[in-house]
Amino acid sequence: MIDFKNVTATFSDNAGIFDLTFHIERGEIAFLMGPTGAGKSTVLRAIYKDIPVMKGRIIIDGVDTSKIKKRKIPFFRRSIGTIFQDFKLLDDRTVFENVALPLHINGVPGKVINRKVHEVLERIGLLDLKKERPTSISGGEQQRIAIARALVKDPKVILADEPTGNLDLVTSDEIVDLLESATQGGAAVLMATHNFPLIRPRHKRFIELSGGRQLV
Amino acid sequence: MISKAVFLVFEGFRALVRAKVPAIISSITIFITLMIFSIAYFGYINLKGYSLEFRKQYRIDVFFDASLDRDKCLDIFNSILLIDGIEQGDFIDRERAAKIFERYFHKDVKEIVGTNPLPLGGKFEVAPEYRDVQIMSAIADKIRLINGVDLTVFQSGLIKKIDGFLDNLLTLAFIIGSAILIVSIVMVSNTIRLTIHAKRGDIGTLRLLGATDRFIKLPFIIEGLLQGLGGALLSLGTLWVLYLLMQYLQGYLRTYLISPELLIPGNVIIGMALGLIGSYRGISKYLK
Ligand SMILES: Nc1ncnc2c1ncn2[C@@H]1O[C@H](COP(=O)(O)OP(=O)(O)OP(=O)(O)O)[C@@H](O)[C@H]1O
Ligand SMILES: [Mg+2]
Repeated sequence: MIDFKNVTATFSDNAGIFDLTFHIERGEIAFLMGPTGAGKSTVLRAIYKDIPVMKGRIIIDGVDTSKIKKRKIPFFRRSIGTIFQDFKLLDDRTVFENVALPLHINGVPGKVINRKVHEVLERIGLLDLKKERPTSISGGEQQRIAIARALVKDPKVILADEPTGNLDLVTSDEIVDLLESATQGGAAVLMATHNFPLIRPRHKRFIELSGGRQLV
Repeated sequence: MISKAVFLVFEGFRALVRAKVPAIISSITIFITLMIFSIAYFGYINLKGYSLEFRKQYRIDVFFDASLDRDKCLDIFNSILLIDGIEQGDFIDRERAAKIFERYFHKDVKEIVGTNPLPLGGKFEVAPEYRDVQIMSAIADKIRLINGVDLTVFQSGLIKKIDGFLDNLLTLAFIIGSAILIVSIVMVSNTIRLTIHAKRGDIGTLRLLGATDRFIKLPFIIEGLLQGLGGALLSLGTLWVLYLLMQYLQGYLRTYLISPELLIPGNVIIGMALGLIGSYRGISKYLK
């Protein structure tokens, strides 16, 4: 589902990612590990075409992303659920509206939107906050709303950039459970984290990065 | 598809309510533009109305040879009436000429001269579509060639001046009007750009979530249309007050008023077009 072949994407000579090769199956969850500045976010941004790839190929669900025309990028992004490291929630709308936004973008009918948003908020345990603004809820709650926004459209690919960064261990574990359960629907999940103790007990595959390079 | 359209229209309304200050600035810009246009148009139709009324006095005065008798003069008078562009005529015999003389000079011409020396003549009204200096000159020349016609007179100098004045005024109004339109569009698009700039983070997020440019643009364009409508309503409201004032003054001033059938759609269409063009320019420049 997510296929990296000798991918290099750089900001400068020694910042970025270099010659990465890995593969994540349909229904698989894998972790991108590494210290700060290792290039975890860069890997994810390269996938959703926020930054250009200089060398190699990224193939998502059989599509070579370098072949996607600029005009088609929005449609490509709609099939990916992204949890951004900085959440990127819109402050001028409610929690409910934030979570509904990707469905509006995807052109889902209003009734379906209503049902799906309620479902996902219920699942994540934050239905009570649906009328709140992101500015009036806690950092951890914002983070979970960001996760709900990624999950609501049942994406084939889920990219999670440090989705447990602001959460305590118990809640973090619940979040990873949630992402893991998404794989049962066939999604491929790639989660970036530097919290090794959190993922060690799960015995899942992880890709370790350091200085933008893969450690084996 | 429909629910998406509804969502985007709703987003436009929301944007308008959120960004109140820019919305007010844009609406006022459009309002001022519309007021200037409406008042200029009011001035134009009044000038045109007065000038048409004035042109009713566009006539050619003809004097016949003093040696001709009344019947001969009537013959010539009738042949002049047949000329293209002459609408009607008024035959002036000696008695009427004397009366006109008396009206102007307050003296009986017979008292002064002893006999009535005034020539017979005619006043000819020119059809409206012929009320133009050149055409009237041509008609006057034609009349002058008729045997027995001594003199033709019409106010060519004054007519020329009035025509020239109206032409200049229209050109000037056109130039100023275009300038106002451009300034207004630039102001509206800059104001919209201000709101876009404040929302650039959100626009970036929308893009990462897979929104197309059209999805991002549409709410801003609807916002612009609503600002245009707001400007138009403000302008129509103000014009309504002015209209009441004019009605009150109508006893003293005689003016031609713009008909509401023209004023209302005119303001709404021009206002919304200004909002549309302004916001489209603003957002398109930004998304490039
Ligand atoms: N926009 C940018 N311009 C230039 N350099 C950048 C840019 N974004 C990231 N970098 C550099 O690329 C390298 C990898 O950054 P990246 O954000 O991928 O790290 P990360 O592993 O996600 O770190 P963190 O755990 O802190 O989120 C770093 O050296 C960073 O300074
Ligand atoms: Mg990062």
